[in-house]
Amino acid sequence: MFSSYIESILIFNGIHIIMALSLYLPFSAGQISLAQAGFMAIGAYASSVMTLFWGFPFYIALFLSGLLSAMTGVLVGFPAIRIKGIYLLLLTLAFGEMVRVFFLNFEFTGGASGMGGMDLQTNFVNVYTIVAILIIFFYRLSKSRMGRAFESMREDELAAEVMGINIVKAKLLAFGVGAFIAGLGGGLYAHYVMYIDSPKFGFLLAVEFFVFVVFGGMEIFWGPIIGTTLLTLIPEVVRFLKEWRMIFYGLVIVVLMIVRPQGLIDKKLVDDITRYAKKLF
Amino acid sequence: MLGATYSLVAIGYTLIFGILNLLHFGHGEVFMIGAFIGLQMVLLTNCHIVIAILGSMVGAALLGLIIERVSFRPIKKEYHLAPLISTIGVSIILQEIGTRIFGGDIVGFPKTIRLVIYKIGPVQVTSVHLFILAFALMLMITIHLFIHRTKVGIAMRVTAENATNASLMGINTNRIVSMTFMISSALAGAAGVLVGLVYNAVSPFMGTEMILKGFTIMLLGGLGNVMGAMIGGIILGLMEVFSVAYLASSYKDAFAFGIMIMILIFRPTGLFGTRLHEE
Amino acid sequence: MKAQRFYRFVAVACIALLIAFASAIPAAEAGLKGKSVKVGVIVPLAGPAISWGQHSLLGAEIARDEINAAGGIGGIPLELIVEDTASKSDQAISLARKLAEQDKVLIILGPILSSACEMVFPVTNRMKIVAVSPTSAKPGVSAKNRPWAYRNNLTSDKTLGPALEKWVKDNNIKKAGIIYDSSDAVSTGEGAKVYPAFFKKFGVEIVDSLTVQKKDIDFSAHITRIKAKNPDGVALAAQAEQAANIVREMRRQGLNIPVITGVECANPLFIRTGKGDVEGVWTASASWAGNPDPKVKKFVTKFMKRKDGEKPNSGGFKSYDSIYIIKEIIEKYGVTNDPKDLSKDRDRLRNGWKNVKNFPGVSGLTTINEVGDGVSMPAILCVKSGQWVAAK
Repeated sequence: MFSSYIESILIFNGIHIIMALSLYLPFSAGQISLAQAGFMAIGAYASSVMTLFWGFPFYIALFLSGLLSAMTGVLVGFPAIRIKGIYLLLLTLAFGEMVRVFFLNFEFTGGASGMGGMDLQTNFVNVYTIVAILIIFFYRLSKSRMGRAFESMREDELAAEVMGINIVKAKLLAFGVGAFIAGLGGGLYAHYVMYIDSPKFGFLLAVEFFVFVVFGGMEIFWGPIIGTTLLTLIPEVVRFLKEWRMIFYGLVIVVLMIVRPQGLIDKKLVDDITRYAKKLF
Repeated sequence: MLGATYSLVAIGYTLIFGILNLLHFGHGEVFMIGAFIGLQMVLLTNCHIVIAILGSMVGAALLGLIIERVSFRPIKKEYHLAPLISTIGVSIILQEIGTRIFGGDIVGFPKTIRLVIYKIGPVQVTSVHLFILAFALMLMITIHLFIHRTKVGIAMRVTAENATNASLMGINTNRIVSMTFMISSALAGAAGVLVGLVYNAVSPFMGTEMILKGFTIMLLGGLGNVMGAMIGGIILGLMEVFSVAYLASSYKDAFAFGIMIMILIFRPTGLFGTRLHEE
Repeated sequence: MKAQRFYRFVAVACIALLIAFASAIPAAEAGLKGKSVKVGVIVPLAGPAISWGQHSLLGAEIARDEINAAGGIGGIPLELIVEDTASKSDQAISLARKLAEQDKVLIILGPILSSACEMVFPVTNRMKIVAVSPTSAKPGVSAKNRPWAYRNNLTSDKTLGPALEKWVKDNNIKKAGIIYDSSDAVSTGEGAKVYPAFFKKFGVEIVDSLTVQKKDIDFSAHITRIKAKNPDGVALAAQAEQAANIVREMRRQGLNIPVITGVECANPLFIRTGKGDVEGVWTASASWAGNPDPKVKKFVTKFMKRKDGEKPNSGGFKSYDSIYIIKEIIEKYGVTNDPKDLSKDRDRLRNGWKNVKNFPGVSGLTTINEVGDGVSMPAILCVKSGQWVAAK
């Protein structure tokens, strides 16, 4: 269908979209998280251990590692019930770094020398099938009771609580499902690059996902998807700029934040487009 | 020793966070550029190290001003995360510019201070370490006096409490914001030169690690608490040194982050309480 | 008498035949097809590994310019297609695919980092194209990815053996301490495996083994602790600037015992960071800029001219040699450079790399061993008056 270079870039893009959506879910409930790289690492390592050491089929390993990641996500979610804003950002950052240090020292999964030898299991079809499922999930969520509960929590937590939303349950759910998605992303990543080492999953990666989401816009799930795609493709498209391309990348981020601080895509834009499209047909 | 330089970086974070409620991701890069300015001054003009530090403080302050004008001021205030992301963009740009101008290789400082070794009981201290400690302490005292005794400093604190009230009281908050960026950046620049001196290696990637250290210290000392940042920096420096003797160094980081999480859960105001507002 | 004359005749005849063949081959082959010989290069040109990337790229570019100034390969110029990973190892996967399928290069030089090699080698293996890393030193990476993965670099375990033996013997080491960076794959390999194994072999007692982390800058507690154990010598494994700072701290605390460092330190950066304090420190390397060999001198001078006086690190040497090895293989193994023959040509290059023997380059005589790593006689080096010189 595509040249394998384009396919490879699209696969990375798909994994990035999954990661950005995993961050968007707690985000949509007002929970900022820099722990997604940590959840991704858990998914990547756990799924590799299952396929490589225990001989599990890939999809079962992927699902189980997602669950494991979700369990840790709920654990992180508990302190997050009380902690908000910048404090939560720092808490999740610290958690992500602890995961990184753990895998750096965990000899069972190779420690500092990393872990390799997984089979190539990830391909265009399974990555984008998962992306498609997630899009349907987020679309349904945005129309559901829980989705509206998340939204009201983001706008005003106190008011949401007064209105009878179970904040604790909603927050744990947001963190847990977000971590599940991140675990899937990690498993897909590990079975595409076929070698993982813990420095990859450091705080800079978490920040990268964070940028994807805010750049694209946090009001609606299309934001992270479009934002991720643009920010993944820009450095590839402008390869001709050679050593200036990363500067260009930085500039794009700064300029967009000045022009559209709410992110590239917001509800209004989506509404406008739908209205326009309706008029057209 | 090094703790004191960490404090300088963390004070910058604390000031910017306390007054603007912004996590400044580009601050580590200001620290790096500051180190390079100091290094280049010593290499090119062969000037005294104190002049180089002052030069890098001025340079870093200007850089801080530019960052504020380009990536903070133009962004509408009601979006809290946008300026955070734009400072990440700035940090990418600065790091790249650093590599382009200064090259990707790590450079060392020429010997500028005569190395004398003093023995205080079992501890050995070199003149470089003493110089760094003295200079960092001096800067910290200056900044403390500045915030508490001068008109601008008081205006800064008022702005931190409540920006709207401050502007109603006739304080030019825009000017205060610029000042905050400049002072914080100047401190980071000085810290860059001092760290470069003791480690004898300046690289365009030295800022990234500082971001994490700065966050940890800021949290340790209480968000927005300048005094807390000073003490927090010194605690982290000591912890880094002594953990080696009692803990495997690989787990040291996990330990530091564990403390960070504990503080967040049990004492979110930091060890010394938060003076400035909470989010 | 008669037999001797007969042998002499045979020898002369052989030489004559050889000369005839040697001159006949280029004639028969004169002119490769196509516009240029395309070699892909995957290096980091941004991010923390930039220094290795720049040095390796410049080494390859110098070789390219020399070859093209002398008429190219088979009458057509050599072209390097350079792709930047920005120090992100996983990007190398996409880039290897691009070079192999879009640009249709004959062979790939790179990647630089061992972690990138771990990711790229399985991919290039599948696409049946040779990838040659000029720098990766982590043991076992090419062995896992036979037969298309090659590294023109000696792994750290092979490089350090002879140096450690000489170091222990010359300095009469009975008790040694080890300090290594446990957050780095190569350093951990050296500090946790290579040093202990060799020390055990040479009967050296290890009194203490300490770890540091990449971003650490204060080593006073490490040195205080190791000083208390009273070793005869210290073996270090960490990135150059960090190792240099550890040595400085040792000297500051008055611990003036012999030091040997890992392969990461055999470069000018170590001396630049360590200043006078690293005098007398040992290491081992396959290539070093102070080598008095005129060929090396010529290369180092050219390199320094194009890099503002900076001396090449091992990446520069190894990629320079690798390009020349590629040239030799293309000429020797009948590579046609015909687009139709692409897969055959790539296989010829693989066969050529497998059989590299005693190739004389700027990093000594290179032979590729059975697991695809370049073996050359490592030089045992020591710092003397601010230069790496051969240890006596």
